[in-house]
Amino acid sequence: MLQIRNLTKTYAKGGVKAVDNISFHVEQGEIYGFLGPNGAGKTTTIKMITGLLKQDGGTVRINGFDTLVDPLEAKSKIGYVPDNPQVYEKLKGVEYLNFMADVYRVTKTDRQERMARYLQLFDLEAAAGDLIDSYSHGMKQKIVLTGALLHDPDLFVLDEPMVGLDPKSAFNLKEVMRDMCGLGKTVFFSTHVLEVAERICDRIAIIDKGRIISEGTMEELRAKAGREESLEQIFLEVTGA
Amino acid sequence: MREILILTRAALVNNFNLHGLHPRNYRTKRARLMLLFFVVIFLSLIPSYVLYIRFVRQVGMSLLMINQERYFIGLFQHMAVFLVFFLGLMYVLSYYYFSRDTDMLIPLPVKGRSIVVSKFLAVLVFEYLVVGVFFIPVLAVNASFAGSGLWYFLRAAYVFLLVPVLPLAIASILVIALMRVTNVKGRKDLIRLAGMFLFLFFVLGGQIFVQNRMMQVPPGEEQAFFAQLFQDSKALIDMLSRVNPLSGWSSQALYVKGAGVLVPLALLGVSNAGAFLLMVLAGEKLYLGGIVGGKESQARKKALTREQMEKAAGKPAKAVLSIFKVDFLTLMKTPIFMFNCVSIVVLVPFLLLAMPVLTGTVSGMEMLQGLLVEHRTLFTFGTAGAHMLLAAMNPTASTAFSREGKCFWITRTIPARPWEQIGGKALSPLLLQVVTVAVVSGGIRFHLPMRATDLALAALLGIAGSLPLILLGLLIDINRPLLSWDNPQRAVKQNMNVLFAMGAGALLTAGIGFAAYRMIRAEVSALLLSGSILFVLLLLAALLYRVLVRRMLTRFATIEE
Repeated sequence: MLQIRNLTKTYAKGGVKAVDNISFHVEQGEIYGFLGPNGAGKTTTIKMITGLLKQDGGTVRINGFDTLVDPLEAKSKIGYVPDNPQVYEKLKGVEYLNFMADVYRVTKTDRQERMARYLQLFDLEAAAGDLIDSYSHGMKQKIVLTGALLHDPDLFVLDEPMVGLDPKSAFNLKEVMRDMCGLGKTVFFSTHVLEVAERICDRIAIIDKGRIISEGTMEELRAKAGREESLEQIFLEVTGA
Repeated sequence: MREILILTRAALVNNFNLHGLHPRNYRTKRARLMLLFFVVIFLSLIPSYVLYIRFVRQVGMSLLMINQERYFIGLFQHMAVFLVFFLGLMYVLSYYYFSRDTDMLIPLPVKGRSIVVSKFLAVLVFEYLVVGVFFIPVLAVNASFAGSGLWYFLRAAYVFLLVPVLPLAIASILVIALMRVTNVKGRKDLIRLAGMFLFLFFVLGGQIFVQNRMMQVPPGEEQAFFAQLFQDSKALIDMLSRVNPLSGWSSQALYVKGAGVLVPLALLGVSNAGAFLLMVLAGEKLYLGGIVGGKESQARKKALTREQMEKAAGKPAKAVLSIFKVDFLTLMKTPIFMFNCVSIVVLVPFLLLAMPVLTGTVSGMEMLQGLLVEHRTLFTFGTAGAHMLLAAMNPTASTAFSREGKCFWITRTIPARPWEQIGGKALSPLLLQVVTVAVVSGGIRFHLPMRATDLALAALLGIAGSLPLILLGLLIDINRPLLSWDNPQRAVKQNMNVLFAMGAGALLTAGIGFAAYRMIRAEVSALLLSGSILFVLLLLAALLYRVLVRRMLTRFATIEE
C-alpha cells in the first residue's frame, strides 16, 4: 500500500538533512507506527507522503501511484490528520465535512452514513451545527479526523493523533484504526505515546536524525534488542536518549 | 510606563517582522534574489514618487500664485488626517481585537490601558510610515514658502509627528466603543462590520457635505471671492479651519513669526494630547470588556436533528463550487477580509452616486456628457478600462492563498484538479467584479445618458478583462503567499502581493488601453476593436492559466522550503 524508497530531504535553510535515504513499506491491513525523538524527521516524512513537501530524492508510492507522477490519484487514497488541527474556523462543522466530502467526491448516501457514524463516535453531534471557531482544540482535532475519514481512505496518515484527544475519543480512534485494518485499509501514524504504539501497531519504525534505526514487529524489535523489553526501553536505547 | 514600553517593543517586532530583516535570513541564493527583487520593485516606484513630488510642488506653486500658500500645508494636513482615520479604523479593529497576540496578553497581569497604549503606538508607527511618504514632500516644498532653517524644520517635525495622533485616537475611541456596545449575543461580526461601514459613510458623507458648503460661492459673487483671495492670504485656510481647526493650527505653526507661533503650537499639542488621553480613558473603561466578550463564539450546543443532518449532508456539490463556497464564506465572515476585499464594492457606488450630488459637481457631469456625445467609442472603452482598473485594485485574488494562512495544508492535500482549485479561488473575485461592474454601470446610467448597448459592451470587456487580472493576482499570490500571520490584517493589508498585483494589473490595463486608444485614433470599427480586445484578453487569460497551473502544482509541494 505505502512504499517508501530511498527518500531524502534536505531543507534549503541551514542545509540540514531532515530525512536521510529511508526505505520501508507498509502492507495493506497494517497499522504502522512511526516513532522518533523531536526533530527526527517524522513530520517531514509524513509531509512528503501527503504531498505537502517535495522530496530531494527517492519515491513515495501509494497503492502503486507515485506521489510526484500521479499526485491527485495518490492524494485521493489518503486521509490525512496533521499534528496541529488548523481548520477553517468560519465554517460550521457540518460545512467543513461537506467540503471534504465534495472534494473527495463522496456520494450522498455514503457521506450521510459516515458523517452520522463518526460524529456520534467522536461525540461531535451536538457541535456539528456550530462554527468551528467555537470548538476546543480537541474538538477541532476530532472534526479534522472525521473529515479525513469521510472518503473511507485506503491509507490513513496521522501525525501525533492522540494529542488533545480526551480518553474516550483516543480509545475510539484506536478502535477506528483497528476496524480500518480489518477492512483491508492501512494506517500510518507518528506518535510519542509509546504504549499506544506498542499495543496497536503491527509494525513499528524508529527514526532518528533522519535515518530509520530500527524497524519491525514488537517481537522483531525485542529480538534485535536481545532482551524482553518494553518499547519505551527499546526506544531509549536505540535513540541513545 | 515600563510595561507599555515592553509591550510596544514586542508589538513592533511582531507586527513588522523585524527579525525577518536579520542578515542570516539572506544567506541562500534564493533569499538574496528575493531581496534583489524587492530592491528592484522599490527602485521602480521612484519615478512615480518623483511624479508625486512634482504634483505637490505644482499645487504649492499654484496656491502661491493666488496668494494662498498658507492653504497648501493645511490642505495636505487635512487629507493626511483622513488618510490616517480611514486606515486607522481598519488597523485598530485588526490590531486591537483580531490579532492573536491579544490572546496571549489578556491573561498577563498587565492593565488594559497598557495593552491599548502599546497597540496604539504600534499602529502609530505604521501610520508614520504612510504619512511620511505622503506628507514629508509637502513639508519640504512648504519650506520654500514659509522659510527654511532649523526653526522651521523643528516646527515641521512637530507638525508631522502630531498629524496622525488625533485622527488615530478618534478612530481608536470609535472602534473601542463600537466593539463594546456590539458585544452582544448573535451576529456580532455582522453588526460590527455594518458599524464600520456606517462610520465611513458618515465621515465621508459629512466631510463632503461640509466641504461643499464651505467652498460654495454664491452665484454672482465669484468675482468678489477671487478678489478676496488676492487680498487676504488666509482666506482659504480660514475656511478650512472652520471644518478642521488642526489644519489651521498646522499652517499657523509654520507661518506665524515671533512668539505668536507658540499659540498654534500649544493648541496642536493640547488637542492631540487631549484626544490621546480620551483614547486611554476609553481603553481603560471599555477595552477589556469588549475584547473578552468578543472572544466568545456562539455555540448552540444543540444536536442537529436527523432531518437537519440529512439535509445538511445531503447536497453534494462539485469540488470547484465547494472550494468557492469555503473561500467566499471565509471572506464574508471574517470582518477584516470583508472590509478590505468587499468594501470597494460598497464604497465605489457610494462615491459614484453620492459624490456629484453631495459636492455639487453635478454640473461637471455636463462636461462628461459632452465628452460622451463627441467621443462615444472612447467613452465606452474608457469605461471598460475603469472596470478593469477596479478589478486590479481589488485584493481578493492576490490574497486568495494568503488568506488561508495555517489552513493552507487543506488546499494542498485535497485531490482537487488544478482547474477546480483555480476556478474555486477565482470565483470570489470574479463575483465581486461582476457586482462592481453592475453597480458602476448603474451609477453611470444614473448620471449620464450612455446607451445601454455601450454600457453592456463596457461591462462585457470589463468582466473579460478581470479574468487575466484575477489569474495574475492568483499567480502572484501562489508564488509567495503570506501564510504565517497571527492577524488577518497582515494577510491583506501588509501583503506585498496586493501591491505587486495592483502594479502589474494597472500596467496591463494601461497597455491594453493604449493599444485600444491607438486603434480608435486609427478609426478601427468598434466591432473589430471589441473583438480584438476580447481576443487579447482571453488569450492572456489562457496563457496565465497555463502558467498558474504549473506554478501552483510546484508551489504546493515546495512552499514550506
